[in-house]
Amino acid sequence: MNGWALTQHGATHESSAPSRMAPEERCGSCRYFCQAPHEIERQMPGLKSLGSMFASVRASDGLCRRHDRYLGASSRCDDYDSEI
Amino acid sequence: MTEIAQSQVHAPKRESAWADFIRKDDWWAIWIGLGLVAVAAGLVAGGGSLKWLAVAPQKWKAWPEAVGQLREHAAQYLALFALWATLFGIGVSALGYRLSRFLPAFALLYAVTLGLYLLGQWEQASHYNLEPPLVALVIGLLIANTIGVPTWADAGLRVELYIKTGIVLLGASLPLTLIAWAGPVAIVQAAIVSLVTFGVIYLTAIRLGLDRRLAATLGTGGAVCGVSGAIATAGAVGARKEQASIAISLVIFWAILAIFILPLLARALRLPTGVAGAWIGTSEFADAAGLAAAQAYGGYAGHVAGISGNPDAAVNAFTLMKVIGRDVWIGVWAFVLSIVATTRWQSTGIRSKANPGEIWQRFPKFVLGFLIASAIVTVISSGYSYADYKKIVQPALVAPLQVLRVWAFTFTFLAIGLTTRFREFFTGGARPFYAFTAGVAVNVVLGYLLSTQVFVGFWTRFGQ
Repeated sequence: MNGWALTQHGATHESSAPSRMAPEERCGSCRYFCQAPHEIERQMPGLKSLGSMFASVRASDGLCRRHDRYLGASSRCDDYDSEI
Repeated sequence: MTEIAQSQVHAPKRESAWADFIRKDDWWAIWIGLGLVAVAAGLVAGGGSLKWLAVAPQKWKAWPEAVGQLREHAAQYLALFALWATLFGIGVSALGYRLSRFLPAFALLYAVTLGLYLLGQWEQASHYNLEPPLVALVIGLLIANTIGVPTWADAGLRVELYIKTGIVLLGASLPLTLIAWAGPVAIVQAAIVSLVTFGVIYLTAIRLGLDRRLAATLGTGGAVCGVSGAIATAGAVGARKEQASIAISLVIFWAILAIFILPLLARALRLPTGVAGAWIGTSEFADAAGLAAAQAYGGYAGHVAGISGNPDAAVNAFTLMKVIGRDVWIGVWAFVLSIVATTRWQSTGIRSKANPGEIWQRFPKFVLGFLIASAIVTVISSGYSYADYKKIVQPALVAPLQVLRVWAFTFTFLAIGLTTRFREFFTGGARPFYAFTAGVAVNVVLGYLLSTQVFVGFWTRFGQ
């Protein structure tokens, strides 16, 4: 990845407390993460009226059932739990 | 979730990048739209045309005349239904819907759309303000909010697939040279309004004590591309689920209102079609809603005294302003806001990366189809003299694609109404509403001033 490795705690925080998680432990493979477009459209009323969960602008975002947040699939947190 | 094919429910979470080509409605709009353009171009090259299939009601005065038209062209209307049902059916199947749910829903959508198209051709339609886009929307809203629409019908009400296909087809009637000429002006005008509108919504929301992630999601929803802007930003900054829902409901509320208000204001001011289209493109919040407003306004040209310009100019100016001027920048907005969120805002306990690749990932790919369609027809047209273009290319190639585009747009307008529930509005309380509404007020006034004062000469010429 060429992206900036910045945490939501801020760049300073990350430099002092790097993540101990394996690279594959991202939201996209977490059991709490929902990427099914139909299910997200169902949970966000009105979304399919003038939008779509099948649109390119969505990228690979999904819903975290643990934190009740709408996130990118490459995000991480300490509550990661493999879906398998 | 009964309407969802099992295969979709259990689809693996990690798919290759190539999966986007069949899992995203942007790409299906490209396959369908460019496929139609390619077939139409191939037929013209062989001396034929798509005209027979691209059937549309003609002007009529009395009811028996309208019924006679339907009888006479019944085979063509059935063939056109088969074409749309096949193309969109393949697309929605790939998106995970069951064909057994799509086909009956789409058949009803097609039948009502045909009725609305026919109504719009009544010679008294303009006199009674029966513009098909607005009538389609009102009928859809009435049905959805009274008797209701069953869940299984969702498969046939894919607003975004229809509108994106229509926009790709619209590219076939806009020369690439015109896009290159008008595009920079659209980008400058849209950039001014987007930055100001975002700033107003964001700062108002912060002053009202709202969370920064909600403020940013509201801001891009109002300033860039409506629901798409809201969900892209929500994902980029890690907004709470209800924050995304609040932004979505406010965008829809104001977008639906603007469909009716903007054409009415522009009509009262007797704005030329190009100028009105630019204003709507600057001040509407969603592509589908704005196209309904712009197409309705284009219908006034030649029917309402004092409104000058080409009827198609309203839709063309709208599309350039909204799609080229605003939509294509959503990836940049999401990327910049993700950097700000990860470096400046309070932690949510979730670690994210701001990746410049996001700009391409979130790029609305259907815009590529719009540009390619334009390029194809421009290249074909360059081989003809102007006289031959008007005699051969316009009637045999461009006109049938324009008819198909109007069908796709009308499916969209009806589907918007059928999927909009009033009870879903105002779920987030007063403060988000005030913040978003402040942006709406500034957006509409600034869009008006830029379209009718600063760039009025440009958009008036564009409309002619």
